[in-house]
Amino acid sequence: MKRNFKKLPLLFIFILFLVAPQVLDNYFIYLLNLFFIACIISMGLNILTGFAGQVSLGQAAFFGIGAYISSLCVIKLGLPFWLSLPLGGVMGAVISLVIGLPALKVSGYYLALVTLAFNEIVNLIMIHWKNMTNGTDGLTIPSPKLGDFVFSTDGSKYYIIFLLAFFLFIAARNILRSKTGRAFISLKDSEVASQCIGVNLAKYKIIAFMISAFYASLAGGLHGIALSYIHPQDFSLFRSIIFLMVIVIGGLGTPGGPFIGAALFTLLPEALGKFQEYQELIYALILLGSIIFLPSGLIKLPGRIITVANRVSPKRQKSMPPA
Amino acid sequence: MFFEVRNLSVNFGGVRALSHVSLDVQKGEVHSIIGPNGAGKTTFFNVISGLIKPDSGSIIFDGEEIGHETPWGISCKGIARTFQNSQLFITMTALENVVTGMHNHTRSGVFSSALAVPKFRREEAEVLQKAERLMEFVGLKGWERYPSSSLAFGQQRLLELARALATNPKMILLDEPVAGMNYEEKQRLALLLVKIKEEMDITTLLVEHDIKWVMQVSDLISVLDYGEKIAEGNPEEIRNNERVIEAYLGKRRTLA
Repeated sequence: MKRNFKKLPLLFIFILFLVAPQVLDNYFIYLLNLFFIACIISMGLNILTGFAGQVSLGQAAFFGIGAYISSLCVIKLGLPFWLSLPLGGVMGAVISLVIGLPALKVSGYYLALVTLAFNEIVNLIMIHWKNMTNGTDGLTIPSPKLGDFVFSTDGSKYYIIFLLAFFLFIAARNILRSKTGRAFISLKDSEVASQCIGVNLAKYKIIAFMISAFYASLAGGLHGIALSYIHPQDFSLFRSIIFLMVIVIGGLGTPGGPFIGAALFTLLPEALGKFQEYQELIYALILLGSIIFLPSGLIKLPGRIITVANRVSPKRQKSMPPA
Repeated sequence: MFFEVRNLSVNFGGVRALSHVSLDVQKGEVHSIIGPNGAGKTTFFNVISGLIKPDSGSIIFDGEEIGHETPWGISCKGIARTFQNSQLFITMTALENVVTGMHNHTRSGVFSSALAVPKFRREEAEVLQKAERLMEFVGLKGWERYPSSSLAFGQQRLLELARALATNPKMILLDEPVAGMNYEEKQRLALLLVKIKEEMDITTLLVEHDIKWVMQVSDLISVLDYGEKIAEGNPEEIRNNERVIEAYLGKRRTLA
C-alpha cells in the first residue's frame, strides 16, 4: 500500500506532462522540448558531478557527438532515427570510456582538464570537417518517421522527447538507489573509506562518466530533431561550462536540482530576448549569488527560508532523535 | 599462520616510518598494537589495507601475499577496517552507510539496476535486512534513518564498525576504536569484540592508546616505537616489559 502511494505524485506528473501539449501553444511545447533535453544532460551530469564528485567540462562535446552521429547516420547512411539515436548515445559512451580511462585512473582534477581540451578538439572537428559536418553552415535534419507518420510538429516531437526523458529519469533514479549509486556517493564522501570497503575507484568513476556521456549524447540526438538544425556553436566549451553552472545553481547531488537547473538553462536565453550577449554575465552573477547565499542550490531555497524564519522567531523546537 | 607480516619497511622521503616490522596473528585472536605517538601504528594499518605501498617486506593473509594489492582487492580478500578520524559517508543515512559496506556482496550491475528488474529488487531487500541486523548487532537500532553525521561521536565509531562488518571480513583492523568514548561505551565495545570473535569468527587487529582498555580486551599485544617492534606478549608480559616502560616513560636516569 505504502509503496503505491509513494508513486502517486510521479504518476500525476507523468500524466500532466502527457496531456500538456494538448492545451499549450506551440511556443511552449517547443520550450518544453528544450527543457526536457536540458534535463537529460543535467541528470547525467548530476550523476557524475553531484553524486560521484567528478567534474567534466566536456558535456557539450558529448551533446554534439550525439547530435552529429545520430543525424549523420540518418542523412548519410539512411538509417532510421530510432536506430541512429541510440547509436549516437552508445558512441558517446564509448568515446567517454576512451578519454576517461587515462584521466580517471589518477585522482584529482585531470578529468576536468582532459574534457576541457576534448571539448575544444571536438568543436574544431565539427567546424572544419566540412564535407562531413557541413562546417559552420550547420546541418539540416529530417524529421523522424514511424511508418507513414512523420514527427514534424513540435507537439509530435514532444512525445519522443518527453517519454525518453521520463524513462531516463526513472533509470537514473534507480541507478542512484543501487549498488552503483551508493558506490558513486561513497567515493565522493570519502575516497579512502570507499576503496577500503571494496569499491574499485577508477571503475566507478569511469562508469559515472560513461553514464553522463550517454545521457548527453542521447540529448544531442533529440536536440537535432527538436530544432531540425544543428550548428557547431551549440556544442562549444562555453555550453559545457553553462551545463556545469546550472546544475550547481539548481542543487548539486540532489534529485530535483537538475530540473531547476534545466529550467533556468532553457528559460534564461528566452527571457533575455535581445540582451542575449549579456547571457554569460548573467549566468556568472547568478552562480556567484547562489554560491554565496544558497551553496546547496536553488532546490534548498524553501528549506533555507524556513531556517531563516526560525532564526527570526525560534519558537518551534526540532524533534529529537531517539536516545 | 593466518596473518603474517615479515620485515615490513616503509619510508616517507628520508623518514623511516616502519622498520623491519614482523607480526603473526592467529585466527580468532584479538591482537593489539600500542606505542607512543608517531610510532607508526596508523602507517602499519594503512600498509595492511593497501593505502600505502610498502618499500620492502611481505604481508601474507590466509596463505596469499597481499603486499601489492589495491585497497579494494584487499577488502575482497577479507580485511576490513575503521579509521582514526571518522570516514563515514556523511551525505548518507546511517543505514545506507552499512548497505554500502556490502558493495561486493551485491551483484546487480548498472543495467539491471536502471531497469529495476525483479532480481535487483529482491537483492536490495535482502541487503537492507542484513544491514538492519548489523546495526542492531552494534547497538544502533533505531538510528537507521538518521543522517550519519547526526550521530554522536561514539555512535559514529560503532557505525563504522558495522560498515566494516558488512563487507563480511575475516579480519578487521580497528584504528583507535574507543577514542572519544566514555567508560560505558568502552565496556560495551569490549563485549562487542568478544561477540565478533565468538559469533562471527572474525580476527581483530587493533591500534589503541587507552592502555587499560587494551589490556582488558587483548589476547596479545605488540609494541611499536619509532617504527620498530620492541616487544610482543600477553598483557601481563607487556605490563612488566622494561623496554615498553622505557618507550612510554623514558629511560631512568642516574644523577651524576
